[in-house]
Amino acid sequence: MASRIRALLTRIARSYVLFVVIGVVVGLVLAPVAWNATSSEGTVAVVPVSGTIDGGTSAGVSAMLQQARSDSDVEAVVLLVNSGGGGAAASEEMYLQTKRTAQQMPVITSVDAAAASGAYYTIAPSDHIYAKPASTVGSVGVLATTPTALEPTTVISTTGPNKLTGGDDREFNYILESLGNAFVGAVFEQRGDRLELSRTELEQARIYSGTQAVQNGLVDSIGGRQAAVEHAADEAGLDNYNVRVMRPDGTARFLSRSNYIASTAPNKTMVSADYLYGEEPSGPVFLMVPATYLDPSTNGTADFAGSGTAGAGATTARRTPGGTHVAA
Amino acid sequence: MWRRELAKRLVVLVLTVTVVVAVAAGGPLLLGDEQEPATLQNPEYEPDAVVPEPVAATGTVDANPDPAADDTGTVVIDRGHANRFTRADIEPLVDALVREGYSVEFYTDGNLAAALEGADAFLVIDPGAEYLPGDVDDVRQFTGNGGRLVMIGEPDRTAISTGLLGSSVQTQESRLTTLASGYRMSVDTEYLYNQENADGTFKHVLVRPTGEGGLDSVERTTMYTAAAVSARNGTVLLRSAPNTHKSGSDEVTGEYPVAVERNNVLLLGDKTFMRGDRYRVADNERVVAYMAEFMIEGDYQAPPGVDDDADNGTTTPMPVA
Repeated sequence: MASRIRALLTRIARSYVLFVVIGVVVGLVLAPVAWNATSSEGTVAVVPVSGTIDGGTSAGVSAMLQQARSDSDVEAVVLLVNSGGGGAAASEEMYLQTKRTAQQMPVITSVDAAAASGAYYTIAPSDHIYAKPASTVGSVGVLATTPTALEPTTVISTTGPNKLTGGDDREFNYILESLGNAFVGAVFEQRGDRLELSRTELEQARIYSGTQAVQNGLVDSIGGRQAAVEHAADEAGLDNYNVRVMRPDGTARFLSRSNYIASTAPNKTMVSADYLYGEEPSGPVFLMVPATYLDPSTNGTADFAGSGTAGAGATTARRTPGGTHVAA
Repeated sequence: MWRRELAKRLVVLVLTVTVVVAVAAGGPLLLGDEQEPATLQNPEYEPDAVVPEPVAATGTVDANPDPAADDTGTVVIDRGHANRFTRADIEPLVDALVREGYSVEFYTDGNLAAALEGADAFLVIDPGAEYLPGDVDDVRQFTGNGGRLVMIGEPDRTAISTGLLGSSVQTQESRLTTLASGYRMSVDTEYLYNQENADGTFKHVLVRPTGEGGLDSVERTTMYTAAAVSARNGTVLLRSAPNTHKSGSDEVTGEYPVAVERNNVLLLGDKTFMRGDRYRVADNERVVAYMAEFMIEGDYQAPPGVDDDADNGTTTPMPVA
């Protein structure tokens, strides 16, 4: 019996058929890899911009965009945005990163629940912006907690009259205005040829729905993520492409419940407006968020000055989420 | 022998590693020129395009009243109608009046007619309570006999007050309706803003003279919470700069009157321009001087039969609360 089995194995071992079968099986296993390796012409990188924009958000998105730019396989980027903005400097950094990326490859944006204020600043250099009818975009403006007027040398001694506050409230408004002008100027630089809004209309800092934004040129067309990916591939000239969804480290922090619900970030949390300006603001905090994103229960005691935010009845100096005002 | 062979192989190994590392290090340098991104140009951030030109804050209040006006007199400032102003709000004006030989008194309560007796002008700033018909009659009698009336209103404003039970939001209204309407004048409730002609930010509107009235030397002034004012058959002294908006309105071309004059009554739509830290901005000091001149040139003549000893009204000297 044993001799018969050994003879059979010997015969099989000498047969070409067995090796052909093994070869086919292994080949089929490796075939998809080989197929992709030879059929894909490039990759569309999807970069999420989620939650309140702070230094961490900025660093994360910047790293992902930098990675996309340096990867020779990435031919286009899709920004997947769901944010109401955040810190002014962090938003400006995001704008510069998007602008740099758009100079090297197509950048297409898909707006989820919102791309307001600093988030709109971020996506302004995009080649094409998609939004959904329920998306909210706009709020092009800056607001800030105002410095508390203090007389120097009473409690704290200083070498100069403006060392405590940086300047009086008139001068502070000029500082704020220069931030607002830079923001509005950047949006016009990037989208001036498509905007139906005048500069002063944009400075009103209104929020628009996705369909309104298509009308006024803040957005190019209605569409979702798939449309953005296909558009990006098309812009890059890719018929066959891979899609690589990049994920930032850390937790996405949301001020708006609406944005939180819409977010697909694996780690997300709600935060109060205190996260942005603190419980006891002692100096100016420049923010690029709609005032309506700030928690009514906590910001009633904070003083805000707005730049380019007159449209909804909001005005200079102290403000509340509803856009009320007092003093100048 | 074997050691020699081993040494040869080690040398080859080291050389190989060296070549690989050198290629790895040199590769990016050789290829670098092609991958170096161009420097990012940001013309949108050119300082000349972004930084607003500040409005200068220089000048002094130099009232130059009509030589025919009295060298001395009294101006009464209303404090009896929940008026909202501070010492800083009126000090530049008070200083100008005092330097011209005029004294300043406050009406707090009681008989207004008696309080105005002997005064040259009555100044009403942002009252929080309406004038009762009797008070309106007293003021109208005062102006009807040569006294000057200056009213300063404000748009509706929202104050945030913090107390034991937390913060609350309250609307503040300039309740000038009954007094001003008696002179066919009114103050709007909406604030003005201007995104092109402003002192720093949109609500700090620039204001220009109309060429009518006595503000010829003014080029431009600033108002920080301005309301439009109107006067039937009155003279508009100051208008907001072109492209001023009224809050809540989409109209963008209005040049709203913010200072109107009718006979011996002057109405302004902002109290902040004459504040201690704002009166030097642009030509605000000229408007303050004009207000002082307007009041000084008042010449109230008590009608026959008025009891000079009537003393029910209460006027109090400085200081301001």
